[in-house]
Formats: sequence, C-alpha cells, structure tokens
Amino acid sequence: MPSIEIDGQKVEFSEGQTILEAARSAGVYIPAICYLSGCSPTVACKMCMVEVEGKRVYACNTKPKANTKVATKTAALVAERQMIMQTYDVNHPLECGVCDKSGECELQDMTHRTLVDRQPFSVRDNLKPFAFWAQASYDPNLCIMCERCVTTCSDNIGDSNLKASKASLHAPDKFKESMPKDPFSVWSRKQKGMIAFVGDTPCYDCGECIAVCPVGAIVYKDFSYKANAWELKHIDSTCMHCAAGCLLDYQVRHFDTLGEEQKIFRVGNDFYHNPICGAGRFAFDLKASTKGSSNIEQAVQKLKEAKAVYVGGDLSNEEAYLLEQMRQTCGFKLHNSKLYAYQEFLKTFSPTPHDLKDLKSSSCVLSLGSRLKNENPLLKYALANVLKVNKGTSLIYAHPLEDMAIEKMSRSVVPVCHAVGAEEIILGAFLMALGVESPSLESLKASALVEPEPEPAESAEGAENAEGEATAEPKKAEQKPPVYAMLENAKCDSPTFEKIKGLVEKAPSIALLIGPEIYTHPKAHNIALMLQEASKLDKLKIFLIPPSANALGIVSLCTLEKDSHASPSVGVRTKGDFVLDSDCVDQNGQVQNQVDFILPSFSQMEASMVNLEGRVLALRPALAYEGLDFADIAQHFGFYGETLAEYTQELPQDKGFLGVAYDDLTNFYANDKSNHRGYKLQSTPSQATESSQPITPIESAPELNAYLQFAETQFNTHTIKSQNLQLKEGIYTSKAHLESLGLVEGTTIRLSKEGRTLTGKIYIDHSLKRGVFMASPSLDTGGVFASPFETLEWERA
Amino acid sequence: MGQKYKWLDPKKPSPKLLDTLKTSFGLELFKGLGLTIKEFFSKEVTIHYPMEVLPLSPRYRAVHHLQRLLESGNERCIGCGLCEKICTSNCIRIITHKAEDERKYIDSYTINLGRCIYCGLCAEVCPELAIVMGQRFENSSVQRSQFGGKAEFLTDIQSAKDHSHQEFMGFGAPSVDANTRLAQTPLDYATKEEKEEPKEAKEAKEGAENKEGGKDHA
Repeated sequence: MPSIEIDGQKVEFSEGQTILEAARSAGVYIPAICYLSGCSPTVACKMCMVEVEGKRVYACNTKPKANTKVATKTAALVAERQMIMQTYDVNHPLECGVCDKSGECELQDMTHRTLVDRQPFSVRDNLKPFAFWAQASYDPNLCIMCERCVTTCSDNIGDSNLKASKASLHAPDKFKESMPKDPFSVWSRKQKGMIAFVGDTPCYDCGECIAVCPVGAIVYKDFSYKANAWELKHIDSTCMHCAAGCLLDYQVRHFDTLGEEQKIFRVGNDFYHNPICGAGRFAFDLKASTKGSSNIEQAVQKLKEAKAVYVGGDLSNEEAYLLEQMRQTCGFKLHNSKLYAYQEFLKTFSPTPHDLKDLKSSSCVLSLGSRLKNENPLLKYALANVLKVNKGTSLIYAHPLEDMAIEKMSRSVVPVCHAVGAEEIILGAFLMALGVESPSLESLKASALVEPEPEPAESAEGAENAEGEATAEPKKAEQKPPVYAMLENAKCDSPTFEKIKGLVEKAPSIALLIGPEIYTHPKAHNIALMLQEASKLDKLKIFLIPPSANALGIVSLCTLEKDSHASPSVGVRTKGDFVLDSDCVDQNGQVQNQVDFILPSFSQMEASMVNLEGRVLALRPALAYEGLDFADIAQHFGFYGETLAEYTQELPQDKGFLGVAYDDLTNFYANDKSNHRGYKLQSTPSQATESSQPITPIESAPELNAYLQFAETQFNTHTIKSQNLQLKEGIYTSKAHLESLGLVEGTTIRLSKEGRTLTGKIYIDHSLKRGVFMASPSLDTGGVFASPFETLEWERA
Repeated sequence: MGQKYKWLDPKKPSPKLLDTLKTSFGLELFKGLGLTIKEFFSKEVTIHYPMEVLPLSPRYRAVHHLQRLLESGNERCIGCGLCEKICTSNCIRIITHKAEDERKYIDSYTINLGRCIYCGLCAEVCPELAIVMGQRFENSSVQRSQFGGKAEFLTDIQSAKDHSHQEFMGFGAPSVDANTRLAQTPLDYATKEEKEEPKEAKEAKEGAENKEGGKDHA
C-alpha cells in the first residue's frame, strides 16, 4: 500500500481516500468541523488545512500522493486555526449555560482546543429569526455555517431540503487586511449566510440535520431544556423497526434518585457512518409496562393448547429460537404469511447477504418490487449517497407507483413505472439487458415486433440463433432497436428499455434490489429461479430486502407454514386469539396496545436480531423491565435459561450462527469506516436444480387506485402508536388527487371492495403523483387488500 | 373664519436669540457648575463595586448552599430528590445509592447554574433545610467544571462544627435593617404620639429616598 508521512508518522492509504480519511483511519488527528464521512467535502470550516510539502491544501478534499510529507501543526496553521475559531466566536451568543448543546458542543471543544483566550474582532450583530421544520428548531444566531446539515440532507438523505442561503446581514469587509485568507473566507461565509429550508414539500421525521449539527443551532424541539448533555447516559443498541437494523444511541437519564428508573430523552446515531430515519430517532416514546404480566400460567396453557402460533416480523432471534423449540415439542404450527413467502423464496434462491458498502460501490443499481423509501429508509439513504457522491452512478427504480422523493434525488434516476403484476417481465428485461442466459427470456425475446427475424440484436448474443444472417444483423438492429410486445404491455416502452440497457452495459458493477412485493408475487418461484440464473454473473450483486425487521433471523430459525386459520391461536408480537406483545405504554402512562401477556419492547430487552446485511446485532436495554418475558415462559417448556440473552450463544450453528455470547456482540463503527457490529451470519447459498420457465405475459393490467403500504417512517404497532412521529397511520394520497376529490386532510374516508371495508383518515403524501390511495396495512383488518395493489371504491365515512 | 396671525416685530430681537444670549452669558452656567461642585463635596451615594458590595437581604436568592448538620458536620441532604422533581428549569440532577446500612448516600449532586432561574423552589420544598439559597451572586469562571458541582455547594465542615454555620433565615425573613427601613407600619398610629419626637429626628438622618417614601405613605 502507498503511504504518506503525517507529522513524521507513516500513514498508509488506499485508492480514493483523501488525506483526512487516511489520517482518521490511522488514528492521526486532523481537526475538522464541517467534514462528514462519505459525503462530498464542503470545505466550509477550513480547519483541516495541512501543508503537503510546504504547500497549503485542505485535507478533506485532497488525495494524497505517495511518499509525500504532510505537516498538520506548523506555527502558521495553528495560528490560522485559532483565528478561525475566533471568527466563529464573534457574536456567538454567550448562552452556553442554557444551551442544549453545552457539554457536547464542537464549538466549545474546538475553541478550547485551539486555546482561544481573546477576541480581537468585533462587528455589529443582526437580528436573525428562528426557523422551524419537521422536528427541528433552528436558531441562526448559534449557527456557524459549517453546512453539515445541508451536506447530510443532500448526500445522505437525498432530499436536499436545506440550503445555505445568502442573507442580507451586516457584513463589513473590514477584516480583509487584518485576517489571512482562510480565516477571512470562513468569517465572511459565516457572516453572510443562514441555513434555509428550501424544500418544495414539507419534510417529516428524519432529524438527521439535528444529529449532525455541531453546535446548538439545530435542536430537537422536544428535547429543549429537558436535560443537560452531560447527564445523559449513552446506550448503543439496534433499531428493530425495519430490516436495516440501524445503530441507535439511546440517551437516557434517570427518573428517580436511585437511578433505577430510566427515561429515554432522545435517540442519537453515529451520523458519520449510519444515518437513521425518523422511526429510529423519534419513536422511542413507547415501552412495555415495567412490571409485566403475572398470568404466566395462562400464557403457557394457551401456548400448549394452541394449534397455530402467529409470529410477528419483529420477533428477536432468541424468541424465535425458543418458539421453534416449543413447536417441535408441542406440535403447533408457526405462521406469518409474509415471512412464509420469504422463506419459500429463499428455499429457491438464497444469496449470501451483501454489505451496504457493496451497494455503495455499484455503478448501476436496479430496484424491483419495493417502495424503498417506505420499506427500508436506510437503503434509500445509501442510494442517495452513492448517487450524489459517485457521479455516473444510476438508479433504475421499477415500481407500479412513481416515487417523487426517489426521482428527485438525482437526475440519473430512471423511473420505470410498470404495470401491476409485471415484475416478472421487468426482471426479464433487466436480465436481457444484463445479457444473462436464461430459458425464461425466450418468450420475451420472441415477442419482438419490429424485426421479422427473431434476432433481437446484441441483447441476445448468447441465444441459440447464431445461424442465418447474424453477421449482418447487428448494424441494422442498432439503427432501430427491437420493440418487445411483452414489455410494451408491461408499460416499459422501447426507449426506456434501451436506456436501461445502455446504463447496465456500461456499468462495471451492478446491484439488484429485490423488494418484499416479489416474495408474495404469484410468480415468485419463477422469479427466484431467474435470479438464481442471474446470480452467476460476477458483476451483479443481488440484495433481497427482508419483509420485516428480523425476517432473516426468523426464517433461518423457524419452520413456518402456510396459514391454515386453525384455532385456538396465539400471536407472539402480532395478532392472535391470545396475544403476547408489548403493551406500548406512552409517556403519559396510557396503554396503547391491549395485550393478554406483556412482553418487553425492544428498548427493554437483551436479545439479538439479523439485519439485511445478514449481521447478528445486539439489542441493548435502555429502559428497565422487571416483568416476565419469553425466557420465563420457555422455562415451563423445559428450557432453563434465566434470560433471553443466555440463548444468544445457543442459536443453532447449522443455521449459520456462530455461537457468540450476547455480551461479546460488539456494536460500533471504527474510524476507518469498518463495521464492527455483531457478526455476519454464515449462510450457504442454495443451489436450485431446476431451470426457470418462460415468462408469461400479463393478461390485462388492472388499473390500480389503492396500494397497501405504510407511510414513511411507519413500520409496525410501535411506530403507529408513537405520539412523537409526525406521520400517522392513515390513507395517503397525492395533493392533486385530494383536491380533485374535494377532500381535506384529516377527513375520514372508507375504501371498500366486495363488501369488505377499510376506514381511515386521509393525508397527503407528496411523493405520490397519481390518484392513488396508499393505505396503512394496520388499517386493513377486514382483508380488503388481497394483493398490495387493488382497485377499490371510496366514499366519505 | 379668519386665521389668527402672530405679529413679529422686526425691530425687536427674537425671543430665541435672547434665550441663547441669556444662557451663554448669564449666570446659568455657574448655577450648573455650582451643583456639580456641591455634589463633588457631598456624601457619596454610590459604592465601589467590586471592592464594596451592598448588604443583601436574607431573602436574597443566589447560588445555593448544601448545608451540614451542626456538631457532626454530616450532610443534611437525605436524597429524597424533591428538589430535582420540583425544578422548573430541569437543572438539578441528583443521583444516590442505598448503602448497606439502608441509608441513601448522594453520589452526585449538580445544578446547572446556567439554566437555574433562582426561583428558590428547591429550597422551599426541601424537607431538611438541606438546600438553601445562598448569597453568592458572582458566577464568572473560566472552567466549565466550576459551575454547579456538589463540592461547590457544600458548606465548610468547620463552620458546622464550631457553630459559625450561616443558617438560612427563610422566605418570610425580614431583612436585617427592616426596622430602620420601614417608614410606617400599620401600628404606627398607636405609637405615634409617644415616639413623635425621636421618630422625626431619625427621619431627618435618613436619606432623601426614605423621606419621599414616608411622604407617599402619608
């Protein structure tokens, strides 16, 4: 590996790293405020300036040259850094005593570090009005214009809702002579601008701008003046709302004098490595009753009598393991329709789960069968990051519904708004563009319209039609690409297909995201076989998005069966005749979820989960739970573990678990961006023996007007009942559609089909374009939706 | 109807000019200077802060004290946590543990003085008179750690042992010079006759401010 010398210390670097990244990876400190790892450098604070062979450069945007000498602490650099901090301190309100950031403020730290002890500059101050968006409150007087919020909103979240805007403030250039160039540019940037919310549509529940703010300028409105930063205890855990399994940092403070009763004041994240969504950050207000339930005999009895046990998608590994053991002794059946479909899919095609960094290194990403933003925000963030930072990366987003939030992330997003049920055909188109040899493509290729010969140009190089005038064909085909009737029917027209093909062909590495809607697709088996055939391609990495939080863990531990609607049934963290779940007590002590036996919520238990990367991650308790949990129930079935955590190392090794004890599960990212969270599940890729069937054309594409999907940052009972989240359970539609129907937000409407109904309040989702009702699955208790896409009648309720 | 006009006689100089001349060359200047010279030699009404400070009322609420028991010098705080609960600006934090002798001991007691609004509710609620409002109103420091640690608030153990411990007089406490500062009380009418002579003499000694106050009441 090539190396450079930083202050006399040899530091190795790899291709593509900047000086700052190389230094951080090696543990060499170069100060920086505006830097966010993995994002495009802002160069706002200029604190990271260093001298490479005597020449001044910024470490955050300079690639090192091998064998050069870098100095970070020359007298001139130290003096200029101190001056930068002095300019940041000009007119900074002296309210550290009351400021929420005091104690963890980077401005305080850096001011101390650079030994600022006097203020040579002074300037008249301006009145700067507060601003508010989503859960954030912005005080421009405290802002130092490092623009970390702007950077993360654009490069990590993909919304670009924030911008550094010019403000008409009193900003004399009188220090131009007395200040060196760099401090002056920092000074004038700070003095002449403010952060402004510039989104066309309002933003909800994400709070990443709050997390990255180094000073107290952007704060979480509900945390203001509630606690002091130094009083908070940090507990790293894992989010159990979706399959991303993000690293959460519960910030708790005691609620009684003995420190036994804790309260979560806010949730932070490691924003350098893992942006989190609003559900992770704000849906912390619910927990299970600390005392739990006492009717354990009844719960045991119900489990023993049960014919069917329904499992929730957010069951922990240990609970799933114990349920499976109980199933083997008691003979009940385990059900969960979504997970069952996923398990069946994995039986045919189960790739080794890839890391998110493999997704970020792809130059073309194909997405099929998932409304990414709603189902797995972390994947959306990763895509936003790769689209913004690696120019030339493209995203082909195939879904029956447009998603404006995805489309506006970058110009290199190609939306493919295909017909309902056409996922198999679209996958066929992808495979054809990739040049995969598959029997499934025969019918697709045969549907070519333009050329009378069945030779569909270069896309079918490998197909067995090499005879005839094959040599003369390609030129002709280039002039006029073939039109495939099947694709036309699936609403993926010829120009779109050619565009996809062009992007896919020039991409050296490709990622294919397969969403949960594929597993329940009627042609799921054939799709799995097609993917199996495609997975032989070296440059293609296939990501299967699990349908719920711990789906991967549950399906590798449990044997699920098709729902037989047998009775009596028990629901473990889901619905059933007898329900074992968290009772979701809110911060006022109100029970939000009536259950028969209380289980701890996932901020109260020691357990583990498996995320979409196939990592076994630890859930750490932030809040106390003294009651009985699933381990106590298991004791009645002949298991002697006192706590769930005792089963972590007993998770079966033949299913890929490594037998690592709960306490040995690490949970952090290192400075060099390496992932030290848990361990990776050892999975054995399945080998399908059969080959795929030709794709069947869709008969008639029904016009959809309803879609079964949660709003963004809504995933389960926990998030629905959370009072902190701004987006609620309901029926969402586009603004234009709402107006055309003559409704206002908050009106209750009823959707119905064949006598079955669903009622809910209507809200606007700005990412929807068409006249579609997007209904939260939790509302659909009557079974209105047989598939995710339906055509329903609506009326005012 | 007709408008009224003011007749300016061009032969007479304007009154403004006369005014200017009068103030410039008259004795007014010396009147002003005279007042300055008089004040220069009169009794001082200001104090030389920070070398001098004004006496504070016993009700004054500044940085808290954590009091000790007399004789033994043990901490009075029993760790009930009421001060933390009542605090309106959420600036108190108390962490305790129960030791083997079943008594609570205080591990950490902090007040974020930056956020404290000195409302005194913590002192009012304290069942042991352990936390009281003190008189230290000067809070500048260059160290963040010097704001609000337990060691800062605890009173000197020696003062508890030798009974020089300053007790908090409480919220209803009259100020030390209340008698002298009160010009008139509701019972004045009863004592007025016998005290008439000395009272007037006293009032004369008082500053102008008190006199005015007395007049207002009358």
